[in-house]
Amino acid sequence: MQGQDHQPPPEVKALLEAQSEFLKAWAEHGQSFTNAQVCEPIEKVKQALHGQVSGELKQLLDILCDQWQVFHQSGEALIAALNQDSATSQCALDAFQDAMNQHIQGSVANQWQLSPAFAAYFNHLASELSALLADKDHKVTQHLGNLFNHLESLNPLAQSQGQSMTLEQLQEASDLYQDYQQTLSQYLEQFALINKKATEQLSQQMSQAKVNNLHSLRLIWVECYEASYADTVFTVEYQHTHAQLSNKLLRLQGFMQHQWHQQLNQLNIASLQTVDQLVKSQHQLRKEVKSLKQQLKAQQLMQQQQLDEALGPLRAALGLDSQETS
Amino acid sequence: MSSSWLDPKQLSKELMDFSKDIEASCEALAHMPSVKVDTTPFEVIFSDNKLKLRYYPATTIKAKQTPLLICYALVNRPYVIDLDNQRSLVQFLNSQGLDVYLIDWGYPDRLDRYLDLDDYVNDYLDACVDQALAYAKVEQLNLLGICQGGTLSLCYTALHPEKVSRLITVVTPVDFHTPKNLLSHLMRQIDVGLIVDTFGNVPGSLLNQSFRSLMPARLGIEKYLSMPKQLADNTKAELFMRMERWINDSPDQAGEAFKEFVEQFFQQNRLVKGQVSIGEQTVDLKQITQPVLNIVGTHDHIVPPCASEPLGQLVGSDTYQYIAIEAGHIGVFVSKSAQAQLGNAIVDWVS
Repeated sequence: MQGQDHQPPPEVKALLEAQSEFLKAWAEHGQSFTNAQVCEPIEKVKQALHGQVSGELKQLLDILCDQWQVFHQSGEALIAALNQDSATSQCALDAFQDAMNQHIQGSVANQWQLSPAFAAYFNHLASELSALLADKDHKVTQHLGNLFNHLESLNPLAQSQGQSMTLEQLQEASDLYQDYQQTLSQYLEQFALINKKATEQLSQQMSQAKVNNLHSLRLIWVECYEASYADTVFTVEYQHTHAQLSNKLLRLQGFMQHQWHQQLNQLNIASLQTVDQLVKSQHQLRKEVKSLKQQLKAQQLMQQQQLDEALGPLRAALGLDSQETS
Repeated sequence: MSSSWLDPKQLSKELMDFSKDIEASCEALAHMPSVKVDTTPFEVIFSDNKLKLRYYPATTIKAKQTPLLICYALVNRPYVIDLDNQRSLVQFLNSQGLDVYLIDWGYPDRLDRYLDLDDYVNDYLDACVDQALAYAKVEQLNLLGICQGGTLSLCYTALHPEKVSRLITVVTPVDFHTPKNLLSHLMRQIDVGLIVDTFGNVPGSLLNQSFRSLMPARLGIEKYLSMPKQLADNTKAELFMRMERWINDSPDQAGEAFKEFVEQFFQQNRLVKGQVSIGEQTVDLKQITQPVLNIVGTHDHIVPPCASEPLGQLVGSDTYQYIAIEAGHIGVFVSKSAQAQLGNAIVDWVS
């Protein structure tokens, strides 16, 4: 570990601050979604039944209850807007759409979020680095010590005495995380665009359709959303952002795996990468054996043919057909 | 826009009614017996590593001695063609006098991380063909490939044409770069090497997520909106449960084979260019001179018909038939009307 004081370049500091802001905003967004009105009766039924059903049914039960929540959230938003004296139909529709968009945006974000352990680690890393870079009088080693303790608490080998990450590695991790966050925010912007287009399409549809219930409204919303989604996902920009997000998330995970792998190696414990090397060798051997078997079979066939050819005149002379001798 | 299109009181009532439906659905779920899938009896005549070759004998007088070998995709499980007794393509084919052999690829684990396309096509699939031929005591069989299994079957037939009498491909991608193929668009810039380096084998759940992302609102919201209605009817509820079982039963993909498949087919579209490399061989679809039947689903969002259509121009067969069934990717196998059409088309083709 490097123990010297570290002065942040202004642009790094600005980026880290922006990153912290992003995290805060993101956390608030998630909070508002999960804290949305709780559906008590169904929640109670769900809790009561959870203990009685198998894993497969539990999953469906959860989906069912989620659907109920979304149906209610969007419905209640619509009712609340309609009950306001000054509300127009468009206001009501906007309230409904906000609820629906929030749901789908939440699902998309969940797909691309780091696993809780990774996220906790990188959040910690971001705050430690921010504090470290902001307070130059503070002892660097203490900050990094806290950070490594946290890393080790996430590591199954928490008691390891292995060498921790260098400052360069920490910076690399921070850069990767930042890169991922920036791409995630670009990706979510694409979804904001999809939502916007879906909203426009729904307003247009509603000016022509006579809809008098929530179920039909939701089906129309699904149609509009899918149409808007299809318009966007076929664009080069969306596809590029989607791939970048996937690649950056994987790089981040790969980086962490590499760190853990190194720690395991230092303890002389086989990591998954070590096992993979063995599996690779075994696979290679299997292919070689297969190839040798094929060569052997071909050789046997060739020898049989040569033998048959050589014995041909003899068989003919003896008046035997090939079936009898072979 | 009309200002009186929705009545808050009516909406409140609708919410209440929906709550009651959901509550009833929860109760129905809690008391629902576990559904069974994949129930048609079979005999395992060969196994190697995780792979099992199943034999389903004809249940009537054999219409033909040539057996039918079904090669399913590596993604998902093959029992979508044997979901229940009312929706079993296998049972239908048996009832028409066909001996059916089905490849069950199993569930690859970490030890299978380096299995590649050469292993799947020239080793496993070839071994299944040899075993089926030996079991049936014939020299050729009819090969039926489904989805990715169809693509593998095309490669196999091009490399080992002497063992295949007739070829059938169902919802099979051939040209991976057609404009409407969203899955392919989304895969093209993904660093698949990074996926494999990170996960080893590619988790089935990740693939499911990719499939759901093709139509997020329809598959994530609309589908489940109708759930209370389906759960209120026993027969529909059981089918729904079977489908859910199948959808979520998604094996991990052997890392190397996945990487090769995505890079060569999805990203580089090599099959149509005659440049796919399997082991040390190159796949040339013109080597396929046997009769080919190509079946697509008109509403297929995973393998749009346009991705299958070019096959006729690419194979060397004089006899080629293209059939479009009014169904989606899975509907081809589970919708009763589509399945009847599919079954009859297969029987006609091999008879």
